[in-house]
Amino acid sequence: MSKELKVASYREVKNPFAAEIKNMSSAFSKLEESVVRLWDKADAYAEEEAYEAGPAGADNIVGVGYGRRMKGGQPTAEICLKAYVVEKYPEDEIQAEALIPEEVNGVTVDVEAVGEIVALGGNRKAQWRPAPGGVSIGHVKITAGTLGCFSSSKEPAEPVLILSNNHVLANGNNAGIGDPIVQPAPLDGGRDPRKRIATLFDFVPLDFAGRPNLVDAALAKPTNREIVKLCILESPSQCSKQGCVKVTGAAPPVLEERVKKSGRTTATTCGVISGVGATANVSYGGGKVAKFVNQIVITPAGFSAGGDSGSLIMDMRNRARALLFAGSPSHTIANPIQFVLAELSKPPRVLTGLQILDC
Amino acid sequence: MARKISVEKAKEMHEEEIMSISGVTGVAVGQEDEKPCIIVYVKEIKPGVTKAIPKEIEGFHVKIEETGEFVALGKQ
Repeated sequence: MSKELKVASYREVKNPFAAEIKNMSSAFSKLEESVVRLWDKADAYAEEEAYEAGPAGADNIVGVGYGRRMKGGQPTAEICLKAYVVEKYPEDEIQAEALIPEEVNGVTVDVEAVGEIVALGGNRKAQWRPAPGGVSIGHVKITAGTLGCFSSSKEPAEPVLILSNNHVLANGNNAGIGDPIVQPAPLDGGRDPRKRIATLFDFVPLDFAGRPNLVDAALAKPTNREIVKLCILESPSQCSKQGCVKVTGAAPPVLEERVKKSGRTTATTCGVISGVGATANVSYGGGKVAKFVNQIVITPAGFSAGGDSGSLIMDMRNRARALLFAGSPSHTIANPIQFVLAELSKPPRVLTGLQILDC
Repeated sequence: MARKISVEKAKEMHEEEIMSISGVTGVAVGQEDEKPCIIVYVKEIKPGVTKAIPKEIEGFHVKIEETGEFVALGKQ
């Protein structure tokens, strides 16, 4: 018995929703374009006017999409455009140009608060709540630096203080105790008071008059205990995996030791301490130069870049070894951690008994 | 032959004169071939600079590394 080979025949089916889909997709493109334009503009604005406080803007919008319209937390049958925001604000607390249209091409735009979705992707320049070590932070008048790690003091008893550089938290001496510190840093869209995470607690003044400096260090006090996360963010690299690692104490840095750092700009990188007891002249911009002594030098090139200032340098057992503060395209310079702790907790500084939090 | 002074001491003794050489950005203690040495960092390796740097200091080898300018690493 022979079987007849059946060949499927096709006929064109007219999709009854074609016009609707076309309209939806064009509406989506329009919304997407306008949000991307807004982001680009905000980036340019952040470069110029880094420290202006203001209402919610482009940095509050985290994405666009489409899906079922939500009502009272429940999905409805209506398909609409979606604008995802970190947080919903009343209309009068939002910049006029960052207002999301109620509809595009007659399609409703549903605004949904999703929190920090970028943060989950490991974007160190995003807002992090709670904020771990290794993410963008800065005094309201700087561009950007890195949240190094956390420490505590005996007297006065401060259970959690943020450790980073003077030129990150205290604007290179041009700051007052209690000044707002934002996360992310101003260059990454951080504005006061909405992105305030801490206030300046104390700093070791930098000397630009030729006397030797040991550290570029400052402390900030978190606005509340829940706003920080006591670990250091790590990205996958030759010497680290994805995660948030606990610091296990501190130890003086040693020549030829392998180290890693976690920073805003270049994330986790691995290197070697190739120079110790280093003396170096470091430029702070505007013609200001500071002489540093007893520093460590880390290579290879690429270990750090602008914006990584304040990063904690750890060994492979996650012990704090140094505080990153300067470098050139090929070399990185850092303050040995024992000097950082000592200089921040001896007179005329206000606290004593500073130590790295084992967290 | 045992040296009279440590590499740290040798660096300290000659630090000022090395730092005063135009084009030198820093000086440190390091290692080369598992032996202690003195590292002199220079903005750019060029004859005018390297000629002014001694090849040995108190018996310790001097290694020259090109660094460019050292700057504070806040975002520029």
